[in-house]
Amino acid sequence: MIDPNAPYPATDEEKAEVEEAKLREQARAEMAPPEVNPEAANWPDDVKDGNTQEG
Amino acid sequence: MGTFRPHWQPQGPDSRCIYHGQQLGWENCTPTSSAMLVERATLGKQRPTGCAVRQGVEPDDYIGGTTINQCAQSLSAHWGVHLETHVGSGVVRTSYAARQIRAGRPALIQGNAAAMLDSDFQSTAGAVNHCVFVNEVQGGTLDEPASALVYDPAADGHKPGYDQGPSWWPWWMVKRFGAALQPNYPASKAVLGSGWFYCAFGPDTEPHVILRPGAVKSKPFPDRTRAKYTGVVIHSSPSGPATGKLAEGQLFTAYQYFTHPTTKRVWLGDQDNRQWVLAMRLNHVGGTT
Repeated sequence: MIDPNAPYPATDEEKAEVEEAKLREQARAEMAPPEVNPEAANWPDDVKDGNTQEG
Repeated sequence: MGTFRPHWQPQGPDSRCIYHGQQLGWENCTPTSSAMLVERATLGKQRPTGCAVRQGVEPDDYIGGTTINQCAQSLSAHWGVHLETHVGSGVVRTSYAARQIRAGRPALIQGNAAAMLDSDFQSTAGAVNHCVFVNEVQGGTLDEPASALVYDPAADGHKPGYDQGPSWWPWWMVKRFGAALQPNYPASKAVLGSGWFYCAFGPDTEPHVILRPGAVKSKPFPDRTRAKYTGVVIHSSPSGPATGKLAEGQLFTAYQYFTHPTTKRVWLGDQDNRQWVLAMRLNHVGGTT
């Protein structure tokens, strides 16, 4: 039975959840378009991953 | 309510993905990471394998690794998951990626496994270009999270000292991984450098709400409320049939508000527009519970 008068957030887990929810909303609200990297003009689009057993 | 977490998928062994007679498992990190992103993006409704994503690439590619753009095309064509990709001249700052992930978007990040060698997160034999799936970040600040939940498809613990994914990586390790990417390999081993990512983002899934026409998002979002007494009725729609009851003090997490046009009463709805409760039957509406 949940105590309707219990404070929220009460547990560390709930506090972390509340903080994450605040940061999520802040991230959405303060989203800026990506910056352009002038040094990246000649970087390739098609970078392939390698064989993880090698190297 | 936590972020939806998909199942971790291994890319290996090599025989896990045989395509056109080629054994491609160990070269299938981007498709496998993409497959995990599909499960997250669809909240578990679709769960392709990494090999299926590989086989969805057009034109067929069964030589070596794959690129973010190839996998983005496969996801869009076969699973309806559309990625925002940032490669080549479109690379983004790590802080941009941090905010996108924090805002509820799953991500693919390319880097080089040199960053993890001899660390708790080693998953490869050497320094190879690699790709991981990042499901979420936590703690820290908007631009510098404390850590990220990383699904490394090579981290299957198959050798002593290898990591077993998924794992919480410190954010600096994610950045180090991205910075170590060798964009021009094999022509050059020059690295991307710090501060930038080759990456892609899926749709924002957390927390989601399917708004009823005329409803507005709750504030706070979500809004945790409690039933005032035992027997508070849950309806399938505002003023619609009863589908259940709440006990006194029981939590009802609302994601939307709706003012009935006739009665002018305010109703609180769940995230899927399937459960509605009259606001007057609830405590702590619009505040802490």
